Amino acid sequence: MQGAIDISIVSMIIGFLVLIIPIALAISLRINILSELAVSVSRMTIQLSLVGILLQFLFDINSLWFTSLWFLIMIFAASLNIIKRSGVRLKNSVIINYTALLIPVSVMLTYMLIFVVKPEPFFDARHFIPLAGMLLGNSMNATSLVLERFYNGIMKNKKEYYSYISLGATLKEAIHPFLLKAYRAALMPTIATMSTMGLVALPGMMTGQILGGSSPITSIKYQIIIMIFIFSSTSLSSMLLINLARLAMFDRYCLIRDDLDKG
Amino acid sequence: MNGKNDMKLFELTDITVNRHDREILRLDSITVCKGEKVVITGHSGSGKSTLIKIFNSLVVPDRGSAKYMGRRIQDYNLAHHRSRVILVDQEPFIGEDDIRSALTGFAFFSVHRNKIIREESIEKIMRKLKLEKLGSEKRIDTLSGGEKQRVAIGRALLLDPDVLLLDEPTSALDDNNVRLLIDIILKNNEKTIISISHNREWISACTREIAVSDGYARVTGG
Repeated sequence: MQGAIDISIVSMIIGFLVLIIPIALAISLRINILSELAVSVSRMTIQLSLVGILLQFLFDINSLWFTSLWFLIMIFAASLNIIKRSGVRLKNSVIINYTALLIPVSVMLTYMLIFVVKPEPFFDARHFIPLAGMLLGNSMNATSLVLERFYNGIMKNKKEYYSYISLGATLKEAIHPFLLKAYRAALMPTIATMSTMGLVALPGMMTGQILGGSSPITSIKYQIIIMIFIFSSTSLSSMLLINLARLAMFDRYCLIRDDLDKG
Repeated sequence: MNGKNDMKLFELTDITVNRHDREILRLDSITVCKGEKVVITGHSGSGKSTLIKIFNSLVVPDRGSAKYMGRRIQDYNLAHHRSRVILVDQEPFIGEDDIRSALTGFAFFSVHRNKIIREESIEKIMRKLKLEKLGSEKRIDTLSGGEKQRVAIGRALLLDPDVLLLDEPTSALDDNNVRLLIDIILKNNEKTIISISHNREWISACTREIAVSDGYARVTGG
């Protein structure tokens, strides 16, 4: 297998020259984005360079412990990101989000590595880290969405929620309509992506593999498998997150907790 | 007709309810017996809704004891208790579908699993509440506030609870419908009714009055 052609530093600089076009456009149109552009391009370059160095280290050392530690750090960052993206901060939010990502992604990743992709060893960092990142990134997006929809669904429709409780619904029964809507919203993006995949654009992972020298057939097999695992992982994470969030949202009388119930 | 016996259903003693570290309701002692028709009166914001919600545990007191048939309300299976002591809100949520769905939409709750709602019962309740002209297929979003209130009361009656808690049941009704409801709920009904109302006719048809003023509730009449 032929690897991707390396880009030299000089070639990188030649590549950066293309930025002259948007910069010139911004100046001529007097759009004040130059400082933001400078910060974001610098951040991207520095962050990716550091990650590149770290990944090179992890790939060279290829240790289960170091790879797992990196995986746990990625989950921690994703847990914080869920709070930011959903705008929902519950009691023990970080622990709830962490658990909702850790269990499903670990189970799916282990299954995929041991039974489907089968690298040697199974924790091979070159396979483990990119696949974990894809499962985690998609699960994070889905759980942010499910949490935002579920929480706001109930908080904006308290009358509906309490009307179910007032008629004798259990907590599980009273949250069911809200859970259905949120769960559906979380899964729909992946379903929509799967159905248009290959028609509208070639997926990033597949493109990367083709550039890296894999045959299109091998790349497609990986893409299909990763989508199946992304869907399963997002559905499990979303369901787990709702069930953990409900413990933090309601007291033992099925009432919305006092600290959340402002009105 | 207003059947009252001495069997104590509710006993509330030395209750305090706080919200966000502020006291919003206090009472020394209130007892409600089986079959009583109790009305809670007071200005808006005085704590009436908080008081009525204690009876079905939608509000849990921070201090004191709230008992139903001699046992602390919180110690019951709350889904079961709430299905026996039903609250109809002032602006009830009755779904977004049609009247039939609103009347029977609770059927999927496990606590009502053994209840069979017959077509005759739906028709009977609609006749009783003068909803039959609308038809059971009438969309909820086309109903007036008063019609929605009557559908919500009909839904509660179909569940045949032991106690009916009504938060401002007459607020959106005209005089004729207020009289209709007084006849159905207060005069020709053996059930225990605890309500909140400002309507004079309704208040005078009740057997006892609890007045709430500035967060303090006490029995004043009956």
